[in-house]
Amino acid sequence: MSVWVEDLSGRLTVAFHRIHETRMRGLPILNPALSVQVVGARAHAGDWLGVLVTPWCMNLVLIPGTDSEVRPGPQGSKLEIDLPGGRCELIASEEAGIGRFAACSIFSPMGGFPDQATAVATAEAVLDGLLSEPAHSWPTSAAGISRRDLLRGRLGS
Amino acid sequence: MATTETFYEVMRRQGITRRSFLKFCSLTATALGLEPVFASRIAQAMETKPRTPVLWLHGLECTCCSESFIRSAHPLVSDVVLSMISLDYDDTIMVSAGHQAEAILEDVRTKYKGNYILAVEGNPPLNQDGMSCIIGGRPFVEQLKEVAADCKAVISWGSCASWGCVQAAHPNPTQATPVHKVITDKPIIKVPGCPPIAEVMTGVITYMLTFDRIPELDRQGRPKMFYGQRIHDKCYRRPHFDAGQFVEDWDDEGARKGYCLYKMGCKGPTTYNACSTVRWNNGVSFPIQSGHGCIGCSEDGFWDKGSFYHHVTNTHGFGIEANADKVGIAAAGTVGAAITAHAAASAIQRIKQRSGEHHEENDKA
Repeated sequence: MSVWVEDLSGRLTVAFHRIHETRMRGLPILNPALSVQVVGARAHAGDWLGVLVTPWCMNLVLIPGTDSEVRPGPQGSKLEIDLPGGRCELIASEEAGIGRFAACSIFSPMGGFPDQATAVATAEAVLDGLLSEPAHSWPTSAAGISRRDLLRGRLGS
Repeated sequence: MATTETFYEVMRRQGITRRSFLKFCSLTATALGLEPVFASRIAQAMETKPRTPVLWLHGLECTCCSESFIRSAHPLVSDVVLSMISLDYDDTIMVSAGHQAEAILEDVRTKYKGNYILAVEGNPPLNQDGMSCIIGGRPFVEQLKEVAADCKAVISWGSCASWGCVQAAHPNPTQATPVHKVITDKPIIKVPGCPPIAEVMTGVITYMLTFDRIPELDRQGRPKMFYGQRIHDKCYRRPHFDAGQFVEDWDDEGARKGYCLYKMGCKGPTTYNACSTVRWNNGVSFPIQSGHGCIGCSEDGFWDKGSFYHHVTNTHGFGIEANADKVGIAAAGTVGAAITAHAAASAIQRIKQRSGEHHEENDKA
């Protein structure tokens, strides 16, 4: 794992540990059996990609690399990314120590998870599913031509 | 009322041009999350299939579902769908009245036996022999049972028909009862919400009329294409929830910054609906966007779940809904890896789903 990936995983963990102990402290929505952990962090198409497990949510997180085309907009805006397993809609976010990033909710609240091991195993399974081609893919018939593409001369691929 | 009339003929008779008709078909395909090629398939189906009659009954309700429906985003959508519906029976918007109106029910029952859709807004009260809701001089429950006996499928519009809603709230003096507890031998599609979103209503009914089958439903009988995700999953304020930034008091600094409304009682984390994606009033906004928490109006028994302004105070209140995710995870401690994989698979399907999209494989053929 590259230093960059590890560094971001560390910063994400630290940031959400801090959130857990300050802003989220004592809230009933927390599952006390869980803790903050980054699962399956990796570089994907120049971006940092991984799953963030916390006692209140499990999110697919994308932190854009410096040369990435993925540019999350203002907090709360949505963007779509194509992963081998399908298209995901992410919501842009920002946090001190991480900067702009984007997240897609996998689970929240987390009341259903009995322990951290189950949460981590589920996170790994979700990430595997999103990063591998679906077992049977339906032929996507003729994606329609959007007006924007037509006007920009981007026809066909 | 010719039996061989197609949807297209009905539309032409209503003065809708072919150009508008084709536009309607492509809009419908988009609203249902279908690929563009399906527009022509919808057009073809509507040109060739005889139209399916729809009867729209009203029990104990406030007519907010009808109000929502007739305000669908694209005027044509509601015009078209309404022209198919109002031809038969809907006591709010039909022309007929009195005995003439009630005769339509009998007429459709006989002519289209087993072949019409029954849409129900509101629910029947069962106490005092049903006398709390009288239609045409008889208890509504009788009318409902009679008309349901020969229908193909039932659409339960809104939270009243789906769950009971306010008239069924504790102590429920009239014993208002959701439709699926009275009609037990027909497929029932629940479209809850108080009211449901207009685009969701037209989407569901157009799907059924066009493809002549019911959309894929979840365990609770709701179409997955619109009720597969929580408000919380797609809420634009979600980053603030994840980061623990909450509105603590109305009009505080957090409220001005648009922080998460969970502490102000928002029920987004437990509510399955399309508000945070489809939104309301032609996609303009939804409650959270205007600064108020979700009250969970599309969930079973939302009137009896405590104040709209208090957040749920125990973890068990959250995440225990009867859905695929929960069932998988709750059993995880005992069954292990297979269940984890199941939870992950359903999560992936949810993540990839965009609003209005559905997973029926046979539509892709």
